[in-house]
Amino acid sequence: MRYYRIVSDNQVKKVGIKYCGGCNLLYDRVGLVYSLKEQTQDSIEFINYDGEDAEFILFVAGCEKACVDMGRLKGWPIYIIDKEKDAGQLIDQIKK
Amino acid sequence: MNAQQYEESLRKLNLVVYMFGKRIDNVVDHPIIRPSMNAVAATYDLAQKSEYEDLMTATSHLTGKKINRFCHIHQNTDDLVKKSKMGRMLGAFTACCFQRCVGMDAMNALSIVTHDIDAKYGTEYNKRFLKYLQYVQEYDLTCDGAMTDPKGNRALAPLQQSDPDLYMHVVEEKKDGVVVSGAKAHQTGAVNSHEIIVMPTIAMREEDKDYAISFALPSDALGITYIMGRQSCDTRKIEEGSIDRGNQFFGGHEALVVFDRVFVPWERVFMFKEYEFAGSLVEKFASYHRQSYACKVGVGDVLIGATQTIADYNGTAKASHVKDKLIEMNHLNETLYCGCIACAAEGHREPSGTYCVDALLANVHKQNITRYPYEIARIAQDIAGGLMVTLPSEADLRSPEVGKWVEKYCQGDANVPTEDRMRILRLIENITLGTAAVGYLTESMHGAGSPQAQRIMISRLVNMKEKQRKAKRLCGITE
Repeated sequence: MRYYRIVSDNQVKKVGIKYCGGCNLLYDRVGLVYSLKEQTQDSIEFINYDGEDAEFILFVAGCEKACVDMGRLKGWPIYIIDKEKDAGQLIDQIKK
Repeated sequence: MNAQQYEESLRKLNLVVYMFGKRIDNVVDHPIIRPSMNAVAATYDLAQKSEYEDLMTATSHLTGKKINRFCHIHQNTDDLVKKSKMGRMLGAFTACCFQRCVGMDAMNALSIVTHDIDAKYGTEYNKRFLKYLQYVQEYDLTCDGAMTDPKGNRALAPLQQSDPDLYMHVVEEKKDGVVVSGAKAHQTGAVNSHEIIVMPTIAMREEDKDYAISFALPSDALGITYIMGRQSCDTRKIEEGSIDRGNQFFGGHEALVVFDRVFVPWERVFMFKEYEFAGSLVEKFASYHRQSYACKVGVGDVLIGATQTIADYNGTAKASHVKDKLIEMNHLNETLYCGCIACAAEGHREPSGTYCVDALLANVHKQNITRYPYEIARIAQDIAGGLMVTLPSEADLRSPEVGKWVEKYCQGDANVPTEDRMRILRLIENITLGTAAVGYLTESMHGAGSPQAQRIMISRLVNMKEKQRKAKRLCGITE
């Protein structure tokens, strides 16, 4: 897991989701995000990655190469998940 | 364009398509063709999905707009790498040829060669081509890249053939365009395409300059006829039921495309008698298209998954030799992946600004593709067992009389339904000797050039003198 920055406050956070291209996945990225949404529905609203009011981008990569066109992410803080266990750590940080 | 819009756009075409000796009125819904349309539609569908858009889309260097990657001109090595990764991903998604890479490869090759022709002759081919490209990008069109002529007697040059139409050629020059005759063979995805981009099939000499022609036309242009190729087991797609098809959703197709005195307006002509650039166009296209066989890695992923599954169902998965054979399948498949990534990562910028793959590595990659899928398929058949080709039909499974015997005696692991065992066996059959074997095996052999074509290129592209110099220096030979 590579942690960049999470804006911390008590309000519902808007998080932009960005996936890698999915060439050779080592886990089910979409299933993981679905699970994340269920577990964080009170604290996070997931929106498209290019939504203007996203607090940070959650980049969901299918493997540790985590390739993505960073130019499309417009300089937002980025939180990268590249394996399933990263999701649990993200939830822990959000709930702190 | 999304998948539904793509399907509707095909319905508006007036293609002249023949199969089994009869003209097909409704191409889109024909049960033998439709799985191939589904595969192309997947290239539109996945481009709309956030979880695939990073591979499936790119930014147009002409307009700055987001476009489908299949309409993109590679602007850096990252684009080339993403093309390879997209091929693997789509191959794994469809387990067949998704048909759209050939148009992308034709456009990238033309973006380079039209620029080079203009540099020498002061022509305006590149300007014409870029206008055409912008049209393709704006409407997100599927283009058939058509290179392979029937070629008649391979020992003879185009002008020496007994029938001049065995190579595509100009038969009449007019004020507003040219008239061409000839044919293009083995055209993958031809009847699922909005456009057809024609290129010469070999390097040309001056006496063959009437054959040095490249152009693009709408796929339903007057005078174009499509004759569908047969595939092994193709009529299973018109049978009741779905198990015996193997792949429930996707497939490929090929067609012989005949051009009978077809008019091409000048604004759609990208090469006209500049015979010395025919070979360059062939080589650029071939290099890109040899890279495109990244898709077979994805199909290999499916076949390996199917093979592990049948090993589980047969109760043989824990046998050490089965485990080792699956390791070998993965080793071969990932070795293929190395080639398509390497030729992309080692790409370079052409004078036009387009990035092109490393030709030597692309040829090495394709040479591997002519071999490894056959070995992967052989191991899959080894592990699957003979039942793959002696299995009764789905109709027998459903039969009130003999269904119970099929159910009883085609069972493997008792915890697995017999029908599931039949389904996975049919998928392996489909990929290794059914309709999909056209794409996974024979297309791997001959598509983008037969094996010897790559060996010739490898011979030309390696620096043998430098290798000799290195060897001689180390053992003290001085010349």
